Amino acid sequence: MKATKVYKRIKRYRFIYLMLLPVVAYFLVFSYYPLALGIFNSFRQVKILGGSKFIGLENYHNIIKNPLYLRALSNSIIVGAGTFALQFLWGLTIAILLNEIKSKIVKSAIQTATFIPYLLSWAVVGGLWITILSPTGMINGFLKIIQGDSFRPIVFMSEPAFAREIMIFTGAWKGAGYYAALFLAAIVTIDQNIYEAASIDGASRWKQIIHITIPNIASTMKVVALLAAMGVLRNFDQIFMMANSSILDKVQNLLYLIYNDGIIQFKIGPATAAATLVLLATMIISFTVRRLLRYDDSYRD
Amino acid sequence: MKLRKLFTLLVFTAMLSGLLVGCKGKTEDQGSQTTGTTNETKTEENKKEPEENKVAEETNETGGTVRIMMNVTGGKDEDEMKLFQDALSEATGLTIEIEKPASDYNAVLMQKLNGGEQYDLIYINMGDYMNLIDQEALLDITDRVKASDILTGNVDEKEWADITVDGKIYAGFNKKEVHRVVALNKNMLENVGIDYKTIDPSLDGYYQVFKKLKEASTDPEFYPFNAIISETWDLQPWMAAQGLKGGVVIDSDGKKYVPFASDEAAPVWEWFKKLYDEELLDPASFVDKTKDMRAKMGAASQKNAVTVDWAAWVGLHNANALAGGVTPDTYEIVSLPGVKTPDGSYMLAKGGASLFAVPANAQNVDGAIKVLEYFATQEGGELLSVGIEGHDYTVENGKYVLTEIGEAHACDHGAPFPIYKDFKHPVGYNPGVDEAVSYGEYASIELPIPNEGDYKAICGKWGIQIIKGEISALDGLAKMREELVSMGVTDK
Repeated sequence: MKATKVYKRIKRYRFIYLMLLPVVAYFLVFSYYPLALGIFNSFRQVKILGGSKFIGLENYHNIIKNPLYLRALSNSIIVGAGTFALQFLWGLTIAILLNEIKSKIVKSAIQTATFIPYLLSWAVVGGLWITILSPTGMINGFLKIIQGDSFRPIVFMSEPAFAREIMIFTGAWKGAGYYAALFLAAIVTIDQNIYEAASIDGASRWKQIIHITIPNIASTMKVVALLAAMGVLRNFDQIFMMANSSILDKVQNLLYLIYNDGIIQFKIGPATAAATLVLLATMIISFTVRRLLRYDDSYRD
Repeated sequence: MKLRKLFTLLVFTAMLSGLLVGCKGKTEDQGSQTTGTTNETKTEENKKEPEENKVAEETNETGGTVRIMMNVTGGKDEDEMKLFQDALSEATGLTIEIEKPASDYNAVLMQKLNGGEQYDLIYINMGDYMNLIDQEALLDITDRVKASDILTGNVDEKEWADITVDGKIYAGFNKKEVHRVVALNKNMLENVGIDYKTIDPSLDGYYQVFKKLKEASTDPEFYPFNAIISETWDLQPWMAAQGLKGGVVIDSDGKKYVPFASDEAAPVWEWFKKLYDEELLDPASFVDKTKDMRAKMGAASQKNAVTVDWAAWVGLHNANALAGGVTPDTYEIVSLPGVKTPDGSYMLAKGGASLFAVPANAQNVDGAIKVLEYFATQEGGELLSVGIEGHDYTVENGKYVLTEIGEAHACDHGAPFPIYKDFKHPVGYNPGVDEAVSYGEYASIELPIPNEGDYKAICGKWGIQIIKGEISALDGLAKMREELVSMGVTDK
């Protein structure tokens, strides 16, 4: 009886299902098949030209007991979470300030200037910041003006003490404009009557921001936070471009190690095992953040 | 209603066909990425291939199609790559198909091999060579090499020894690897009254030179010496003072160790520290890459006066300066073999080979060997260096004349120094190269290891801390050794 119902429903909507088929096929071929193959390979000792054999959880065991991967996990989380937090606040600040600007030209100019870094690749942004932070770069130039000729340039990019901070700052600098655009899009949809009413009641501009603007963009903030949580462990380009041996211990992350194992050393088994663990960790982080934000509740409301 | 159904069906058909185009067969997919030939032609050739190979086997004649996965070598753009492919096909009598990914060569190569693509030759470096042998992904061609008069006669025996792993050879050569030398700005030295040929070949001798250069300069951004310390590239001419060899070395007990991490290396690391403390060593050497170092050494910048670089780069600096209208009386880079060893010789580092290996699933091994043989001849060397006749150069009255394109390509189509041991460069090397190459007798390769990246990063990290004075030389070296062992780079 139930099967007949399902059959009837499929028959009824057959053209819609037919329309869906290419999309489903696309994801099966280009996303889920490689994903399944990767997970399958993570249980095998893979040889690049075949002749692989099943080795159970050995790859996973090797990854988990490898101190490099544990350190990389810690680096990934610290740099990823730090970048997200700073980028979030930075983007929010830009959006709120942009909303206060009355001149359309100035507003557009600032929005464009803050958004441009997001459009540039890490090859460009990394090179730019390496130059700015170099011994002959802008930061050392300022320090020299302040401290005089006796000042000895600081090689910021070789200082482990600054390494994570530099990655967090440059990461946030690159992405803040993007978050600002998302937040601003939410801010402009807020009903202006609420601000007018608050104004009549004597609420200051600051109070309006705290009690009207921020609560009204909470749902956008939740989406941004969830998307960011899914990307915490996925930072590769920045570290690949900006890291060097002096600071590698502080910033080397999971994807960097996976690249090294999988692409440089052709160790497909360990690399796919590590990638599967990253996938699992990302899922756990995403579900945790989702639960903490009460993401589903807000959409049910 | 019928119209709606028809429309839906049409849209579906269009989307499905689009998807199927993306998933088309491997043969066609390979063809679409192959340089210069039409898909139709390639499909036909691929169909013919097994038959042709069979014929070749039966008649002992080499023919058929040779598929090459290439990086660095060949044409500089797609059009020139087509010409290169045609020239190689014509010279070998084979049908050559070349694939050259625009970027991410290693990732593409790994994915293609893992996906079952079949190539007859793949371009790899020495690190990849070791990793692929470990994966049993390369074919043992030792017997074929030994049976070839060209490969044994035209290539120095020492070159083969360098790529022999457990008595087996899995590849032929893309080019002859030269060595790195100490490159010096001759004019800056002359300005402080130093004839480079009279420099005392000791650490103290070079220290005095750096000091004079620094004192004479009014540029606050000028540092006499630069090196890529973060990657341990290249400290060999200085470590020679203690007779220490770069990279990993195997001792008499069969144990691997890094001489630069031994206590004997402490005086050289302390010498680097002295240079850093006295602002003779560019502080950017902790983060600089080779391109940064070369830019600072170039005629347009001249922020450094002494570096260690490839012999070819001595010539490139001079050639670039000449191309920019800077004459040798204002800028000229010359070379020296560095510091003398305790036994009065020198030690220089030779580059790890760049190779064309035969994958274990190659279909036309005879063809692949024929290509390797061609690369080891005078004609093959000319194609890999000067380039393609009629495009990069013309021959006028027996003399090679570079075209404008050839000038721009600077006699480098993958092998500025071809592997043929008696190669006569038809155009001549850039100014300064002959002198730099003459120090080749002091050069040797480092032991190829699969985890070379770890070796460089660990030595660089602790070396920088020693130089900055954050840790004493002996403590830093002890930590360096400890980490090298923990990462499986060394045994002691």
